[in-house]
Amino acid sequence: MMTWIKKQALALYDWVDYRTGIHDLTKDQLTEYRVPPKLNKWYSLGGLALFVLIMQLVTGVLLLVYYVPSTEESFASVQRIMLEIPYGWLIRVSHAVGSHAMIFVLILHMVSVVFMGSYKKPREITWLTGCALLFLSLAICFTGYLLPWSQLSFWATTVATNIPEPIPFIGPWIVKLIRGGESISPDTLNRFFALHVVVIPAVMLALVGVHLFLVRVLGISDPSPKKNKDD
Amino acid sequence: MSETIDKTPQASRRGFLHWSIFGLLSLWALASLNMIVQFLIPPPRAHKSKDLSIPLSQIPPGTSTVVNFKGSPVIVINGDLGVAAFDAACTHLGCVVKWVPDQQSFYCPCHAGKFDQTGKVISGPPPEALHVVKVEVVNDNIVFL
Repeated sequence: MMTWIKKQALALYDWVDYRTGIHDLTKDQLTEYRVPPKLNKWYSLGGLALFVLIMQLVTGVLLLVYYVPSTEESFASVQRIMLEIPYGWLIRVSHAVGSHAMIFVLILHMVSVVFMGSYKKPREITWLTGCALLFLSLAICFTGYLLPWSQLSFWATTVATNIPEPIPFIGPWIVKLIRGGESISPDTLNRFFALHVVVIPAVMLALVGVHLFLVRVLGISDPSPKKNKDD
Repeated sequence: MSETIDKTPQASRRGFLHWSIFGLLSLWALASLNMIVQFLIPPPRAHKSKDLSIPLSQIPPGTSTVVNFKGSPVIVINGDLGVAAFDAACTHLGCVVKWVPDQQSFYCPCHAGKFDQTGKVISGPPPEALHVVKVEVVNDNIVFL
């Protein structure tokens, strides 16, 4: 019986492999992927950031099942997630802790890249997409903070959206654009919700795709001193 | 796929670690899956009260109202023949019917099914009459039985 199942599984694997080349792909990119010698913990930070991103996506989609984006109901829906839904507290707190962890891991990642000079030619595009991803992460944290529509999130967003105001000429206009009006209103909640769950995640995933593609194409940066022939 | 069991101490240590990590990861995955399933199972909605009654003054003659009775919509009318209540789900495909006072009949917006004020089908696709919900007027209150 077991051998029969094994045979069928292998046949299915061969069928998929013939049509996708998945066997060689896994071998080249995963199971027999060659990395430089003497890698240390600092090299794990990019992978760690990817793990946190996946956790944020999973917990975020789960929160979306019960969260209601409206000034009337959002606070009550968050309370329902925290108090009534089984494991809702765990999923929401994971999402909140994950957002802090994301910024923490990204800054450490950035520090290691700066100290090892990994941003240098030919890795400039990897570095720039990484910088964009850090700013998008800050933006997604900022937009997510308003969503519970609590006193804390309301006033924190009021204060933070005031920041661009002193910019000459265009400052007040920027503030109005971010808020969707003169003050924080239901429109602000809706545009922050759209940015938080659709726009920013979509752009981030696209940039992560470019970032990872370049890491694989260019290979892992190896800062170990080389024998310089030119100098 | 075609790994043979190696009896050398080093290989068995590697095998032990391999299965330990695999086992722990599987446990973690199962616990997470359990959590997600429990999170997604629809939570019971508490019904505020089983004994429902609405004041008669809420629906003057000719008007109607829709109330939530035991989790489903019930339409209560005050027609020419007095107060009556029906399960508001159309017997065709379950849309919520509305009361048309001018014609003293129910109209289903989905496929133009029509019922008279006793719930019988007048025209359209519904296969049977609207389901009656028993109510009684006691001291100017409509009480659901």
